[in-house]
Amino acid sequence: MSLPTTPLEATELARALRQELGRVFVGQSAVVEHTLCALVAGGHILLEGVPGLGKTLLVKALAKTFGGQFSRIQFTPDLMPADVTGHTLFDTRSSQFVIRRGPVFANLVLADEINRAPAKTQAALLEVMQEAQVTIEGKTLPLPPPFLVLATQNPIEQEGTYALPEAQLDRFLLKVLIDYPSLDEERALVAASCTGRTGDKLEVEAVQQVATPEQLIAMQQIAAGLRIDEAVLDYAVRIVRNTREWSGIAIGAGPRGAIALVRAARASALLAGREFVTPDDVKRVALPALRHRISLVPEAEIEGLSIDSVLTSLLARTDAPRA
Amino acid sequence: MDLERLSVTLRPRNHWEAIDLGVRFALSRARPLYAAWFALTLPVLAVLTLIFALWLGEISWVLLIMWWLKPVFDRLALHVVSHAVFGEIPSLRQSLRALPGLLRNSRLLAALTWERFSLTRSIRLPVDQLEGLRGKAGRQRKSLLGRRIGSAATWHTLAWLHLETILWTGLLGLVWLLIPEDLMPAGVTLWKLLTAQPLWFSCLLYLPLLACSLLLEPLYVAGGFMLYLKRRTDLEAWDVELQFRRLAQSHTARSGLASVCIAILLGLLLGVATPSPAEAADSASLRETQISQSGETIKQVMQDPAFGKEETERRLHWRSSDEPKNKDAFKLPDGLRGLFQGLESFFEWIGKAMAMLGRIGSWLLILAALGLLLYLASRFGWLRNSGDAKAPPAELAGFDIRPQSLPDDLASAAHALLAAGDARGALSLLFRGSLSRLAHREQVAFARGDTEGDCLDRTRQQASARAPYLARLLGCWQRLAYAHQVIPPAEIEALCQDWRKHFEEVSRG
Repeated sequence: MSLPTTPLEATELARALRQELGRVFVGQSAVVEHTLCALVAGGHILLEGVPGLGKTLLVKALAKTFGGQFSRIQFTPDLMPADVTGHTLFDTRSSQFVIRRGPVFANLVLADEINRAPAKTQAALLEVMQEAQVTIEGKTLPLPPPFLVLATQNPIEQEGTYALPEAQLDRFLLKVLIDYPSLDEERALVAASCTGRTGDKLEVEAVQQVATPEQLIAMQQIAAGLRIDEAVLDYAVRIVRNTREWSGIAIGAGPRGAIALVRAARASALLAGREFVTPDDVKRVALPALRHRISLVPEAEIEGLSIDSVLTSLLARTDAPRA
Repeated sequence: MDLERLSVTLRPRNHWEAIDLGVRFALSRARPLYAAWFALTLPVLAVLTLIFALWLGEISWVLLIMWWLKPVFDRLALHVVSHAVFGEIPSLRQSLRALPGLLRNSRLLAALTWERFSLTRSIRLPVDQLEGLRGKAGRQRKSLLGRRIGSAATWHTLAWLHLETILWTGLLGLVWLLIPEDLMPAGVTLWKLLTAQPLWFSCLLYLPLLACSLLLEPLYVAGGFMLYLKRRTDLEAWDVELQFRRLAQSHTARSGLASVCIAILLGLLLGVATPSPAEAADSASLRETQISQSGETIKQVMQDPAFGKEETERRLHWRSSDEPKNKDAFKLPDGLRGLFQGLESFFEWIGKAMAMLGRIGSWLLILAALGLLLYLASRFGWLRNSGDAKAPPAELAGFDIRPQSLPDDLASAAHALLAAGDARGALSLLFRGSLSRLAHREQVAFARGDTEGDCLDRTRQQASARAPYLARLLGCWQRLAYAHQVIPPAEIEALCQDWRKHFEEVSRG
C-alpha cells in the first residue's frame, strides 16, 4: 500500500476507513466522523455517553482498519499512574532494572470511564497526550505514531467520580457526545450483533485492514498542510475570542482552543474531500472542539442553558467571512 | 336570706378577689365541707371501683364516671358552702338529708348532659340550685349574671383544669419514682403508664388523679359561688343595703330616749288633739299620689346638673341600603341580641377587612400580570433581535444586501467585472445579489452568522428551486475565495446567465 500524497488520495483512504468501520459499527455517523476527524488531525477525543453504545467496538475496529495496536485501560479508583504508563522491574536473571511498558504504548488507547480514577492517575495521561511520550525513571520513551487516546466518561453518574481538571480537558482535541442510536440504526445494530454470535465478545473479524500506520501518518501530514484562507483563520480565532467575552460564559477557550479548532477544521475539510478549509468546516467542528474548554456562568446554568445552546447562539451571532 | 348574717364582708371586689375569697372561705370551713363531700363521693367511688375495677377490670371507667358525676357532688358542696356563708353550717346528717331534694330541684339532667361541658358551670349551679329558676326566667337570669363574670368563670374553670393536671402529673411522677424496679412491669415506659396491665399498677397511677380531682372540686365550687355572690352584690347593691341597715340600727339605738322626748314636745307644741281619721286618710292618699308621681319626680331630679347632662353629638356613618327595615319585628332575648349584635359587628369588621385585602390582592395581581406581560414582550423582542428576524437585515456580515445597493442589471454588471478581469468581484456580486433576492423576494431568513453552507441549507429549505444554482455559485465562490483557485471565465459567465434566469424571473414575477 502506497502512501497518499495528495488530499484526494487521503480522502479516498479516509473513505475506505469509514466504510470498513461501517461493517461492524452501525449508525452514530457523527461520532464516527468526529473520531476520524480526531485521528486525521492527530488529536485525542473525549466521548461522553452512557455505557453500552459501542465505544470500545469503535476503537477496536478503528485499530484494526489500519493494523494499529489497541489497548484498553479501565479506569478505577485504585488505578495508579504506573498502571497507565508503565514501571521498572528488577530482572533477577540479568540483575538489571528493566522497563515494563504500560498499556499506553499502543496506537489507539481506550481510557474507559476516565473520570473514575483520581486526579493523579488522570494526570499520568497528561504527558502522554501532550508529548506522545512517557518518562519512566528519567528515561523518555516515545509512543508509536499514530497515537490517539479515546477516553470515555459517563455523564449521569456523579457518585465516586473525579471530574477531569480543566488542564486535562484542554488536551482533548474534541469532546463528542454520544447518544442513543435512532430506531432504524438500533434495529440494524441488534440484527447484526446477534446473528451467529455467542457470548458478549466484541467481534471485529469483519473489519479488513485497509491502511497502515505509515499511511495514517502521511494522511495526518496532508491534513496539516491543507490551505486555510486568512478570512477562515480569522473566523476561527474570532469564534474563540468571542467565547471569552460572551455573556453566558464564565471562562472562555484559550489559544489552544483556536489551534484545536483549526486543526479539526483541516481534518474535517480533508474528510469532506476538499483541499481547502471553508468557514463551514470551522463551524462544523466548533461545538466538539470548544464545548469542553468553556464553562458557563452560574446564572446560565440555573436558567437551564446548556453549553451547546450557548455555543450555538454564539456561532449564530459571529459574523461569517464574506470576503 | 338575711344579709346581716353573712359571714363574709361585702365590698366591691374584682373577679379574682372574689374567687380567691371563695377558696379561702371553703378552706376555713374545710371540715364540714369535706365531711359532707367525702360522705357522698367515697361510697360512690367504692361502688364504682367494685363494679368496674375489680369486676370488669377497667379502672379507667371509674375515673370517667367519677368525672362525669361531678355536678352531682357539686350540689352537696354548694349546699354546705352557701349555708356556711350565711352563718349556719349544716351538720353531716342535715346535708345528706337535703341531698335528694337538691338533686330533684336543680336541673341535674341538664347539668349531666348538655351543660356538662359548659365552662361557666360554676356560676350556673347557684342559679339552678339556690334561685330555683327554670325556663326563660332561668336563662335570662344566667345571661344577666354571666354578662360580667362569664369570662372570669371560664378562666376559673380553665385554671382549675390546669391545676388539677399539674398536681396529677406531679403526683404521678412521685408514684413512678417510688415504685421499686423489681415490681415494675417489664416494658413499661412513662408513656405507656396509663395502659399498663397489672391492676394494682393502674390503681397506683389513677389514684393521684382521683385524689386531685376530689380534693380540688369543693374549692372550685366555692370559688364559683363567691363569684356569683359578687355579681349579685354588684347588681342588687347588697353592700349598700347592708350599710343602710346598719346605719338605721345604730340610729335607732342612739336616739331611743331623745325621740320619746321629741315626740312629747311635738305633741305639746302642735296641739293636744291627735290627728283625726280624715287627716289620716289624707296622708294615705297623699302617699299614693306621691308614689304615682314618682316617675315624673325622678325625671325632674335627674335633670339636675349633678346627675350629668345630655349632650347631642353628630357624626357621619355609612348608610347601608339593605339595612333591615323592621328590625324589631322579632325580638330576641336581651342576652342573645347582645351576642348577635356583637357577632354582627365582628363579622362586618371581618368582611370589611377581607374586602380590603381582596382589593389590595387584586391590584397586586394586575400589577404582576402587567409586569409579566412586559417581561415576555421584552424577552420576545430580544429573541426577535437575536437572529430569527422576519425582516431581512440590511447587511449580512459585511455584505450590503439591500436591493437598492445593487445595480439594476446585476448580471450585466457581473459580466462587465468579469470582462475587466475581476473574477472575484463578479462572483462576489453574484453571491451578494443572490442573497439579496432570496432574502427580500423569497423571504429566506438569513442570519449574520450563516456560513455559505448554512445559506445553502436555508435556501434548500425555504426556496428549493434556487438551491442548485446557489450550490454551483457557492462552489465557485469557495474555490476562489478560500482555495484561491482560478475559476474558468466560462463558468462564471454561465453563472451570470443563469443568475438572470433564476432571479430576474423572480423580480419580474
